[in-house]
Amino acid sequence: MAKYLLVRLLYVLPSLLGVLVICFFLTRLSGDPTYLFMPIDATDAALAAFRAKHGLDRSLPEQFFLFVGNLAQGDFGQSLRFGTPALELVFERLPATMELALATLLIAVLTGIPLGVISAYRRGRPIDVAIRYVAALGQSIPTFYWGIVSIIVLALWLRAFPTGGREGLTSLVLPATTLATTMMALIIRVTRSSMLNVIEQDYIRTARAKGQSEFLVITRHALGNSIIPVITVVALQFGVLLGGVVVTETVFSWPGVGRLAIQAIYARDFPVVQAVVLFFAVVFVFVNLLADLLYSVVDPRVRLK
Amino acid sequence: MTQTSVLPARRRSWHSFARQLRRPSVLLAVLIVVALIAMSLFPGLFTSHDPSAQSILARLKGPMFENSRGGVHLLGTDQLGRDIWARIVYGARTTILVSLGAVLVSATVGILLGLIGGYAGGVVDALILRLVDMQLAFPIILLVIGVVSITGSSLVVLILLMGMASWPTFARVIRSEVLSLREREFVEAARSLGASRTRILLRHIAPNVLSAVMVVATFELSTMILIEATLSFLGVGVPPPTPTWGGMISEGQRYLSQAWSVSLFPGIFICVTILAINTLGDELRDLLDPRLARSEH
Repeated sequence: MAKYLLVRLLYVLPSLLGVLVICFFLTRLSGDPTYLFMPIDATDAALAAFRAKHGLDRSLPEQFFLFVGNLAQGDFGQSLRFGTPALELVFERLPATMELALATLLIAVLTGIPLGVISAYRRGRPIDVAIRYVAALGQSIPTFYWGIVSIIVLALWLRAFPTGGREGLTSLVLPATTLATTMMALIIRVTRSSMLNVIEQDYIRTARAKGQSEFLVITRHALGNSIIPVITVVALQFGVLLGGVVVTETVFSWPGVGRLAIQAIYARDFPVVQAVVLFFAVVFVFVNLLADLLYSVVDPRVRLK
Repeated sequence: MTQTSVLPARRRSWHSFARQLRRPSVLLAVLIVVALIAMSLFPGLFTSHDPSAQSILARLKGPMFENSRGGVHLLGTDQLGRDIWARIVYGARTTILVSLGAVLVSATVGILLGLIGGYAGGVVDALILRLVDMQLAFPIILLVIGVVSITGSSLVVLILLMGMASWPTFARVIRSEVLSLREREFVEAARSLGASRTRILLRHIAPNVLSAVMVVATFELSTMILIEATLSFLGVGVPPPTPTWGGMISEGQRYLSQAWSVSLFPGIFICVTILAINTLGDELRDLLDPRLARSEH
């Protein structure tokens, strides 16, 4: 197990390094940000001092190695805008994003899996058709549009929820349901097709034959055996979810990492952009690693090696 | 599927596709896609309004608004008094152009890398797989925003970027297809006849991954429409005043409390378009690629 983890971690290092290289050179392509952050009447000495402070006076390869060296020590550089460490800014915004992501995941899983199971169990019946329409619709509505429609209807017309910001639990409802829609649709589809495969297996007939209650047959025997594809797909789609986080946080002015990313990109605050993108990449990689580990928990036949 | 059975199988596919048209949902999807293509080719047929004609007197009006010259604005007007329906019609062209272009780019890159990785195996394959991982770990939206904020946005930049950011789906599907194809008898036959690796890859393997390519391309098309709309919404898509559906929603967001219709209508078109293309994708998958088919049929 420990050895498996180590090998997997070594495996993801080149990927992360690649993301790092791309990220670094992309942010430096736009030229010198010094003029953007210094007053127009700044003296040459002040400009040079700013460049020296942020390492902008060195050659690109030098800057890159300096960057990686600092990174190894947990130093992502200072935000050009706020003068505070970039990583600190990311961690400051992290609780808000975690709150949103957890609520989203909870809503998506708690609605998606039951709906998928019902849809498979009642295959071909009206309820199945209805659930499949819901799933198809959920996958066709852009996240930002769904957000705006819910603002129009629930916040502006019905005044049930605030239009944005992060104050209390009511402000979480709209962003979380917005972000959960696409994921719920995906979970419904995968759960349904996975369940359909499992339901026809012999061991399900056996479970029924030995007098197991129908509820237990479906929840324990069938669902337990069809959950792996769901985990895989959810983990792989996590990158899309992260993209959705950026959009949702922008629509609802949610003070999280995604909004920080957008603001940093528009302001050319390179260190922050790098910190956020790398942070997203690390999260993505670890979620997929976690999914691999979950397989062996869910299915004892899977051996990690 | 051996080579001798390719043709009859394809003919059967088209026959059953024609039969599927009797189902209302499939027929509707086909009609919607045809209408969209017609809109993007001949927008003048669908509206008599100029999509960029502004009017201070007719700002933010609701649907069916009649202007002073007796012209009717079917879906109302936006914050500059421009006709919303006309902008939606002319926006279809931008949407289709960018999404189709991006799919072409990503298909070209993805198919090439998928073919090479799947057939070559070994170090090359491992390298390509690492590239796929890397690309997947990088949220497309962030990548495009990052580059566009540097290079500035234009149709070409957008198409190239969106295409370059989404090749992994093609590469992965094609690679796994090739992995199973290269062990088949007809490939072995070609190899024993002395065919070169390039010839085997291009003449014997490539034609057999076409149906998978078609299916992936359809779903990628709807993904690209979604991404294009999202980018326009975030203000890094096709620059104004060119009408885009996502851009219209974004512009309307500031006037939600006065005129919800500015944001609402373009979004409905995005949803309907994606829904129609996904429906066709599902049908196509069931017909062309039984191995990818959903198990409900």
